[in-house]
Amino acid sequence: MSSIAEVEETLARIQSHKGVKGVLICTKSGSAVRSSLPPAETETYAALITQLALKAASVARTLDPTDDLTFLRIRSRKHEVMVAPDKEYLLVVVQNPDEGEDA
Amino acid sequence: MAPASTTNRGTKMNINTGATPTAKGPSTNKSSKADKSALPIILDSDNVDRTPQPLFVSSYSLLPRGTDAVGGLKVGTDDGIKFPTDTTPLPLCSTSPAPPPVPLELPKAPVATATESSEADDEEDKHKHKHRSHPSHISSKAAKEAAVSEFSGKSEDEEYVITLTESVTEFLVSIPGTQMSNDAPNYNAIKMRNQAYQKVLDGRDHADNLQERHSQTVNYAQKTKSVQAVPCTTSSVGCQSTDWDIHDAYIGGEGDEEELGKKPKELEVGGVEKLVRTFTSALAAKDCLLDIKEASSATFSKSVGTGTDEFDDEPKAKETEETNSEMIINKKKNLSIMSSTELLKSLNLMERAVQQNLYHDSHLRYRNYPSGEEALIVTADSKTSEEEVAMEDDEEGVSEELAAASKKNHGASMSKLFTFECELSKGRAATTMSWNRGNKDILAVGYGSFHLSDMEKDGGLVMFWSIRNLAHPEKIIRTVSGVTAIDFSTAHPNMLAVGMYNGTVAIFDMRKEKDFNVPVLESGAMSSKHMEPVWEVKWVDKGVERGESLVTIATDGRVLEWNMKKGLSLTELMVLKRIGNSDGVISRQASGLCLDFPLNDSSVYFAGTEDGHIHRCSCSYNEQYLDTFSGHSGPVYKLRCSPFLPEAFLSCSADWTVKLWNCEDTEYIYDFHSTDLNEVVNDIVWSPTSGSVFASVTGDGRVEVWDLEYSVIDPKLFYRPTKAESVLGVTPLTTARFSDNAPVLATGDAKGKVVVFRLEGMEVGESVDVAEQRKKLLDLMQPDEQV
Repeated sequence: MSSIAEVEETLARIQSHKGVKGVLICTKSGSAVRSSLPPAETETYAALITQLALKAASVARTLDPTDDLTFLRIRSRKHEVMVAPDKEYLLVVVQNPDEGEDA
Repeated sequence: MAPASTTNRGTKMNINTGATPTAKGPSTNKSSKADKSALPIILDSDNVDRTPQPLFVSSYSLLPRGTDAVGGLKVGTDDGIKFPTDTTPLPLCSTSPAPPPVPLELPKAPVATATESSEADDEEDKHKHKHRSHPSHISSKAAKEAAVSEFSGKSEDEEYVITLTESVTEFLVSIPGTQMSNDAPNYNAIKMRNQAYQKVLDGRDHADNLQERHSQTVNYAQKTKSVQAVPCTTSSVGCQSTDWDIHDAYIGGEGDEEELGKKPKELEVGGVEKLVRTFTSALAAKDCLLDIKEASSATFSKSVGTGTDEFDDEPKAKETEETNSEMIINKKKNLSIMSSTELLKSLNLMERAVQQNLYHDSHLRYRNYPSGEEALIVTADSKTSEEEVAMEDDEEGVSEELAAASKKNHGASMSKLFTFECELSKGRAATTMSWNRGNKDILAVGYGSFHLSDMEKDGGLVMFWSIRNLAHPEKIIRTVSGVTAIDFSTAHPNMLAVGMYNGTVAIFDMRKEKDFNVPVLESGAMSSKHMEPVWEVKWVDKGVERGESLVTIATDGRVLEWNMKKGLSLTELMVLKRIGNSDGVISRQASGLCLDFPLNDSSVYFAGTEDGHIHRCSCSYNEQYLDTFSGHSGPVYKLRCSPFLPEAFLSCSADWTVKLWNCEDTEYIYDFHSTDLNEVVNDIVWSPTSGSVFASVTGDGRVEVWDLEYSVIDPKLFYRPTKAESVLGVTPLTTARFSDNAPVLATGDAKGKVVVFRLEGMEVGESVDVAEQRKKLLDLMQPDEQV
């Protein structure tokens, strides 16, 4: 088990990255473990994304049962939602990629 | 010793004939042939009772008197009585006491009548008796005992004949078929009958004796009556069975070794809590049919399909009784999630994804994938390429115009791609860089200082940058002292040699997962190590026997060779001595600043000194220099041999110039100096793809890319800091490296920023023709021919 400090550090880095609106870690059933979004949004995201991630994983696995979902990205006009699923939890980052691209 | 009934088998069994079992039974009053009709007791040689017990005892004879059950076998008694008259039927049910004895006359009477009546009547009476008789059970010992007591007074020596007959087959349903075969005996008769009937049917329409008539039945008044029952509580439970679900169920056991390994740990962490948690979650689920009061005391079992396992993990806190334990469980679970290795990996992956969103274009350009605009550049005229330059470069002013101008001439350009920078590296000078030989996307940058400064006490850093993450290096090594030289080994691409400002030489193994920042070997305690900053470390391949060894040069003027066979051992290759007039000089030794080995030759090397001289020395001869090249008027900071032509080498110096030498000639061939350059040239590097191209970085933040083919007077490409950037003070660029697998040039500056430039228009192609480059350089190096 790696130290929590590393996890916290990386989390802080991502949160402070350009264009990142928020970071959310939630369990597979939709309860938030850690979130940098306001509570209402957190709940909304958690509820919606868990369902979608489950469906996406189901798609990936139905096509090939030995395969598994590693990353999911939803690009909308205004935001990009990136989801990294795992056995026990879901890591969600909402970013606005058009905000100030670095040269 | 109980009597047995004799109703059910068709075989006649005379027990007493010489066989070991002996039959004993009471006598009968009525029957004349008492010995034959009595119920025997069968004992075997050990006097254990082996009498077969009937499954069903009927006190009523099933057969009419005198008739046979099965053809040929005669009934045991004349009057068809199967029972001895004074015996009671066996009690057949173990729980009930001895049944009231069925009057023995009763069986007789129906039997008597039975003999005269038809078989059908028999069956009827038989049915009646069946209702009255006890259900068939194998009698228990207790029951046997009870029965036995009845017979205690009787004689035990008489023989009995047991007749077993087959019971009559009862037809419960009989549906005879309506078909018969052609060769049945009454076939013709049936056929005639059918035909006659058919005739009747046909003639029905106009038969006289057939009349149709209608009649109306009375319709009774109807009445509806409804009853309402309490509906059963229903609940729907759903589960998705998908392909992967089934796959998991079959193969999950093998493939999920990790999971299995984790489970005991989880159990350790909160075995009881987990039980409680699953229990309360099962309760909390809306589908739970258990009453909560009931459930709290009873044991529970969780039976959920495999597909829905994940849903039941975390119930909503409001709905359960045990909220406190829930919260504790939640916290524990959160903690375990937060500190799991997988989360770190996911976060790293996420960070890269976030970066990719911003820098995707840059990544593409790094990899030399043609994007839409790039395709335009390569083929189009200078106008569009100017626009492209205008779009990408944020700078305005001098550099852009100049860049545009240079583009017009030769179609190549240079632009900033991205910057590697992080909090930790700010303020430290990037003194040296090295691309990893194995994974050519990893750039190792050493941070330290060139002069003794305050930063020195903070030690030094080596950071390993990857283009995937521009904000944070993949790995960081902290060193005691500022890093001044690094080199990756070629034979073992995971070994990194680091030279430091305090003279320490350390070797790190990057393959280690955890302890990569602890040096594998260090020159710490050796007495003859360098005492002054090590400016260059180089791995050289000394051949098959000796392997790879490390050669270092430091300000103390010594060139040391380090060997890793048994720990770290060193040999002194050379002590650089000052040449020329040595009177009045503090030390006779020259300070070595740079070192390089020519291509494919590991026995000879070049060393540059603070005096401006470059010496060619031999590894095996440490007394004298083989050659001395003089020309620089200031300390020679860097020396680089051409990767294509072993004779050619470049040197850069504090005298603002870069010089190209041919080792056969002690005079330099070319002197490169931009006309407006007034600062030291800190580093030079040859291009790995083109034999005539090299880059130099200067103390005023300038990057210049020279191409001998193009011109020896002006650099082909250059980049200068904009006016905006230089307001606060110019940051000297301290180091530069070309990348082997991408058309980029990485430069480091004294403030810790590593800027990666993309060179356009100078790609050579997939593979580099070494011979061709060699020849090109060789030709270019002979100016006499051109003149």
